Amino acid sequence: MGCIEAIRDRFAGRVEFFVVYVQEAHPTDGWQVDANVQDEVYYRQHQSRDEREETAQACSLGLNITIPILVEEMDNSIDDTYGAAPERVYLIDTDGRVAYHGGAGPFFFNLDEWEQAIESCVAKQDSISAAGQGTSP
Amino acid sequence: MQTQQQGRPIADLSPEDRALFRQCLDELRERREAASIESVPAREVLEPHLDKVPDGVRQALLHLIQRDEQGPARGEPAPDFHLKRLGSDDRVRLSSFRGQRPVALVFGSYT
Repeated sequence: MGCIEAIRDRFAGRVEFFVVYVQEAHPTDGWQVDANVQDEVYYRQHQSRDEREETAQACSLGLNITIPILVEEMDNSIDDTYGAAPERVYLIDTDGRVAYHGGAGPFFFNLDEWEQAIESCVAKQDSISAAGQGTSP
Repeated sequence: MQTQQQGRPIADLSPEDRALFRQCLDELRERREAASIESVPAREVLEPHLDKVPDGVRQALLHLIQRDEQGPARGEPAPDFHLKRLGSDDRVRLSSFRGQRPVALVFGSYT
């Protein structure tokens, strides 16, 4: 999460950042992985909205997340629509269209690509606003 | 639950098949690193391997191609959502930022 927070700091005030907390990728009652055993991160799949929020809260504290966290509904509909779980990043441009569709995590979770896309998006906005200022009386 | 089912084709591979799967992934990674922001679709790189690998690896590669294509692609309208913000009673609507600011989203969980 450190890298993500650093990218947010770089573009703070220019881009809105949100973490969308979805279903557990590797719950204790599912596909447990060694990395979680090593880090002692043991959580079962959320059985209720409250449990999802509690786990999101634990994640926020455990990983020192300061980016606002939005909690997915229990029907996982946004997660499904965005093909999100276990992890994926996106960038949505000001026209409401997808400017960057990240690769499926964990194999293709690429924060460098995401950062480059954010950089180009912000540069494009700067050039539009500079052009607008140039033509105003 | 859905993630467990999605992950199974990869989790169940034998060590030999896993090595072969990794080789295909490395090729995709190299192609993507050589490209710019425009990502190379997984289908373009992995499809030629499908006929040459054992069935388990083929299932794992197909699973990866499918995962790669999930979600709205670049240039498509971002499906709207209205989700509760953790630690508050406020809800955030994605479309409320339209015409204001770009929105960067990170989907994930603790585990």
